[in-house]
Amino acid sequence: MNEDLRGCSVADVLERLEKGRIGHRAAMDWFNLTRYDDLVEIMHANSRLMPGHQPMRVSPETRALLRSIFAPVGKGPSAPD
Amino acid sequence: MTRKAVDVAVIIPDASPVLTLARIGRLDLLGGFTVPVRLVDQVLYEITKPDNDPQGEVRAGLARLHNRLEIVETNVGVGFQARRLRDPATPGGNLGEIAVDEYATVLAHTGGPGFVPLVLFEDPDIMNLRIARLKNVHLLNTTAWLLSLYREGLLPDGLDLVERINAGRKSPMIPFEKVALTKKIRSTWLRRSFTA
Repeated sequence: MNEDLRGCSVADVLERLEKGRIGHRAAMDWFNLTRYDDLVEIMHANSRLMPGHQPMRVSPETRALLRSIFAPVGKGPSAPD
Repeated sequence: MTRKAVDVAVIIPDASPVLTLARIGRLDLLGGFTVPVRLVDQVLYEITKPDNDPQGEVRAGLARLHNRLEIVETNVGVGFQARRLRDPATPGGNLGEIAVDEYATVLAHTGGPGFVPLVLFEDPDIMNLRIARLKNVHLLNTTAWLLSLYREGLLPDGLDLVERINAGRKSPMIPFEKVALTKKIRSTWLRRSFTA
């Protein structure tokens, strides 16, 4: 059962959603949202993930390989000749 | 166990990674590799043909990489150009895949036990080619590469670049990686991952 969200701040709601204490429907009702994508956007904008969502896993091997064979390059395209 | 030297080369077996980088104006990222970046001649032809590169921007961007990019000559590519000289309307068809298969066959026969081909690709059909089944092969698609660089602190705007790539697609490019099986090769990069 969802926790009572009365008196909660935005941060409280986002934290409870991320930890899975409330469902996305309760959070959307609290924010008065109709689109799930908008809720995801709010979560990401506040550096939070939806419950159950995981950032892409990159294996240690890939990271180590790229560390050893890639040198940082500057921003933007290289200067023309 | 005796440690063997590991020799890594980046191989781009389809046009998509180059065209994707060109669309976001970051072909220069290929110049960040400190190991050879290889492209077979027929794939280079497909990338730079007028249909894919009407303004010649991709060709110019690749030219700016100078010798950071190695073009691998294949019998398929040379034969196709010879036929085009006789008949400019000769279709290229799927010759890019055949040229990549030819190069993969060469690698399978000549690549030493310490050779790790890092295949940077986007076309799922590549998974059916011999290049994706080479011993020690390490597969990455463009978004997995960029996200890995971002997480390693090697590309601070990596996330923005992935967003720009996905903004121009009908569906987002799901990052994909397949790690090289290097249990018997105590590679330098694997050792580093253990000590990191």
